[in-house]
Amino acid sequence: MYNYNDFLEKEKNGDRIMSLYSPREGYMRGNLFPELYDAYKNYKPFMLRANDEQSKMLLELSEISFASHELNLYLDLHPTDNSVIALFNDYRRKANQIMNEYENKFGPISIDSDSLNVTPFLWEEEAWPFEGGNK
Amino acid sequence: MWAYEKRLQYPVNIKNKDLRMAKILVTQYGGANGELAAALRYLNQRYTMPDNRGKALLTDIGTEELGRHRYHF
Repeated sequence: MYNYNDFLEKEKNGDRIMSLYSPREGYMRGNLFPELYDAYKNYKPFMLRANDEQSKMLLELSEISFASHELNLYLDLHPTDNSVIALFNDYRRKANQIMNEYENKFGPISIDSDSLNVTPFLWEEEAWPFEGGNK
Repeated sequence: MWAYEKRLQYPVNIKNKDLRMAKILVTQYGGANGELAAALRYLNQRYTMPDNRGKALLTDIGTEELGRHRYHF
């Protein structure tokens, strides 16, 4: 049962959060910290399935960048936690790597991508996420 | 300043149109205490935070809130 006061007590005593979900489990629940996660009644998180290579790569990218963002928020409040900094950098590097591979195959995600080295301007050509692109 | 990434935070696959749900979502997003209002407050109040942690936290949370609206629509 999620109890924020317990969490704060642990923080004050210097016990850092030791347990984290894996990126995939965290992504399904929307929360990387088991101690802060409280399931809604008996709801089971939806199992996302990727059917083709594009979806699979995008899902992996979403999971790793989600995990890295959650650790970003944690580190804002605990800038001296070394093990989490190491984990954050690990996820960050992996996310960058997957993003580069995805962009080389399927077109740009960020405007700084190398895949924009073509004519016509690919940023505008590929479908936007709100129209069904990059699924 | 911000960077835009051409992808959704979580995949969307809408099979049925639900107008009532859409109306509820828009009030949650755009209403007086909605996410848009919250995001703008975070991003504008971070300048007066007394320490680094506050500035960093408000910046990052505000950015994430803005990024989320992409899957509301």
